[in-house]
Amino acid sequence: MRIFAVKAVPNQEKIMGPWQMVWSRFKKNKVALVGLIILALLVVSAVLAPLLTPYEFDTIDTLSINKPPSLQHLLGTDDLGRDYFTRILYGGRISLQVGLFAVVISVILGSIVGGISGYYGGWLDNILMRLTEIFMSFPFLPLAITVSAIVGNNLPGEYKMYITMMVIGFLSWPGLARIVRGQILSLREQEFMQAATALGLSDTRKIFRHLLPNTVGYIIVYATVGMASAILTESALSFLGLGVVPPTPTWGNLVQFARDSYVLQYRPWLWIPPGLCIFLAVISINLIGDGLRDAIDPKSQR
Amino acid sequence: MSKLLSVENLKTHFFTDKGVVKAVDGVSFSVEPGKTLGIVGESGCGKSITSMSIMRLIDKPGRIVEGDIFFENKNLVNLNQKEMRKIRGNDISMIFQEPMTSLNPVFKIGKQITEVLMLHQRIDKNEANKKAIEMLELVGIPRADQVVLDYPHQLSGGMRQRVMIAMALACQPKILIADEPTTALDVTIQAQILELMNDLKKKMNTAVILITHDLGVIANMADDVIVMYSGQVVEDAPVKELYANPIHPYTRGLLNSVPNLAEDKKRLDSVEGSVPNPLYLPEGCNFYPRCKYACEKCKTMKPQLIEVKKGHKVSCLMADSFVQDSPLRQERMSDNA
Repeated sequence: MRIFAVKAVPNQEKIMGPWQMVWSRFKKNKVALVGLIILALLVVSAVLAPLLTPYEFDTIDTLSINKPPSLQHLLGTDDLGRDYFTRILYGGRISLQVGLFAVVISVILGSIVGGISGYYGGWLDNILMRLTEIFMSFPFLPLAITVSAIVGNNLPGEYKMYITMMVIGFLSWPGLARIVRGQILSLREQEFMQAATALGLSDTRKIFRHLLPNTVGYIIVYATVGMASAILTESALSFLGLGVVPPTPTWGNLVQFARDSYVLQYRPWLWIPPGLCIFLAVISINLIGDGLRDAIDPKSQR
Repeated sequence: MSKLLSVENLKTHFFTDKGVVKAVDGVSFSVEPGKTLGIVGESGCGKSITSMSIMRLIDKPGRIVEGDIFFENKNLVNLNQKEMRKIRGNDISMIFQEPMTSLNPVFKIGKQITEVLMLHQRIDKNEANKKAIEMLELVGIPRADQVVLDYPHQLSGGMRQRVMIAMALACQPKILIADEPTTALDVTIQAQILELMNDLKKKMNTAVILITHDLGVIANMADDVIVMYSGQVVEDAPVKELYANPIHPYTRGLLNSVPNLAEDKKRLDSVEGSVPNPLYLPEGCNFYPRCKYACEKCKTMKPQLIEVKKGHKVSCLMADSFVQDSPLRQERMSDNA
């Protein structure tokens, strides 16, 4: 008689981590995918700016001022003869960077405040949440304008970019702090947190290594949407001349040309492209944010 | 024999808006190395709070108001949080009731075990990883090297409880507190888990405090048993002695309510009445409103836990009369008649 050896069947089923699951759901959302592609294009073109254009963003060519788009200058030149395509590429760098770092600052502040507030509760929670509310009730734009006007005035132009980042970052964390706090309030009552305590973990470790990772979905969604609004705010500030100032280009201060009614009428290449860039960046990030929200939300599981 | 852990007159009270809830009110017991102490009692009798008090996991509004918990010449009640953290998970660790929710859903199994190891044993990641796989194999998880890469939701309840046990035992603690470790599992898995715990106890010489309301489990697992009622120990005896000669009316009620296959009964026996509201405990013995044998002095006098036989302590004013003429035997006789 022959005995058939039963071979252990290796586990063929591919195990999906939570992020793979999010990605597979995100992929199904075509609109969000389009957003991702647009944003990727904008980011790549900003990163590769030096390779895409032969000019420097501040090369002044007095012989070709206010030229309309041509093969030599794809988007024409501005009133100082600077290649406008180059300035938009480099402007994208600044705008996206400001958006990114502003969001990083607000995410760090928001998660720390929200985490501590939610975990400890009691009087600490009260104080931190009242502080958050105070920050929330400042009218954002007037305050941002005042701060950047006061702080930014005494600084050389190239540092203004950092001031702008910080102003936006320091003023936009309260929303996230409240979201994180709410999540942590319910998470800390879960049994695995009691188990974590029983294993001898410290409070800091519990908050930052065990609780915050559980809220990462919310943080990511908030960050994407926050980045879009940070880019918009930066544009608004720069448009008003209070954010990043020339010669450093950003999409916001490039749109400034639209303030001149002559330019508005006769040199559309000076304001349509940067405006379009802002629009595309903001809408694509928002689409991604929406897509992520649906993909991360476990209730939307199919 | 030397004692590893001794709890003396522990009182853990909760200060609620409605009044003081004496969840644990003067509990004393001790645990010997390598032995299993079973704590039984119905829901709300303070079993879990006792174990949480040992781990110092009592949150507001609760507080240990009195008593000592001696562990290796240290009084755990007086330690600060930092000192306590070194003991938790390292010297004393705990397994919880709900394996489904006791693991952090966002981390891989391996990471959760290595974290404890790296925290308490100061070993590097590679070593911790090896140790984690070893522990998982020890608790009988197949293909442990792959399971470390799984997330909790990919495992079944029994597997997760095994992981919890692996985590709890990773640092070779001297005491393992198992708070109803099998309630959430089905019977076959229950048996496996209990057998596993018995095995590991022998291998590692870990003392186990097993909290349960399942008298069958206690009979199988424990060396000594304490029976709790309304925050107090009503009976404390070696397991065989307790099952052979239960003295306290409550213990006898509990044992009588266990179904017996040999008997043909329409209804199970039960302990009449229900647990008193912990806010308004009776003045005398906590059990007297439900006790068949209650007499006048039970209404006014609090009984103390006294040794009625060697190693057998009971907290009942009538204990002496029960020991002598053993009404349980008579009861059984009349039942059979």
